Amino acid sequence: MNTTDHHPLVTAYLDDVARETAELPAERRAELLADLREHIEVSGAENDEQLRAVLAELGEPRTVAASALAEEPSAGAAGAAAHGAGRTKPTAILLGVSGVLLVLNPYVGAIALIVALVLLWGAPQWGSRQKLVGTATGVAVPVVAFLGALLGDASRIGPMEVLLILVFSLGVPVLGAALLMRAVRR
Amino acid sequence: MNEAGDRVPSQLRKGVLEYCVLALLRDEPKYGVELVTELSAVSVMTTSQGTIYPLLSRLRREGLVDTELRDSPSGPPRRYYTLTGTGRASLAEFAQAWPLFRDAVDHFLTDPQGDSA
Repeated sequence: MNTTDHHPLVTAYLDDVARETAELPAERRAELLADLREHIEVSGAENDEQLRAVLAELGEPRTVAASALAEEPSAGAAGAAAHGAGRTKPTAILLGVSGVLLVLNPYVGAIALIVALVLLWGAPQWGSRQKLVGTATGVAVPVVAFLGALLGDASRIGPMEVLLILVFSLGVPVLGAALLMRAVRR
Repeated sequence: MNEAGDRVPSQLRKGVLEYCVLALLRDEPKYGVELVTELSAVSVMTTSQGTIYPLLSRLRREGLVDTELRDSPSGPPRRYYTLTGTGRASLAEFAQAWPLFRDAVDHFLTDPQGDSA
């Protein structure tokens, strides 16, 4: 009987594993999910209670994901955590403060942003999507400042605009930094 | 399961689990659920059955095991794992080294001074 195929418990379990293995190469991740799905199907649970037992024996999605990441030399917990994790915080913090620095002093800000982006793109612990999001949040401030400067001559900048620019420069890179920190935490 | 209590078995498993998998395949090919059930029947070998699959995947990539999909008389097709020549050689090597290793550990645990052999 194939009642487990699209069972909500199975879908939820596999979704959890998929979420926890975002850093795995796509092929490896698909293989793991297929293996787990096959295991669940072959186990032949006939009701929810048996299905729960099968899933419980498979283990916490996080535990299964951790073992998969540990088997992976490049994206693996062992490799990436060892030489990547030490740079996670500096990278995120630099990115987070780059917006404010840009407003205070464009040169210092530009250097902070460039260093943050170099660290970000050289880091193994983030996927390319996270790197793009991080870059976008960092680059958003100079882009907006540049556009603002273009329009600045035409429209006078009042205190309200200054406040908005400050909030934007502070908020967007910090948001990006927070996303990067969250992506690495397991 | 408390994390600290699981630390010793988990450290020990790291080096030997894959050879236990190879040993289980020595006589006949087995499918995933079969392998995993036999492993977890011995409680120190695994706490979460799902963690075996990434290991099996690596063994396959390293050429120690091979997989093939076979139809099952009941239920969906099953992926069978077979030992390759390389896997067999690796298992033989481990089987040779293990008693020496085990005796050495026992030696330190029971006779830390090393003054009697």
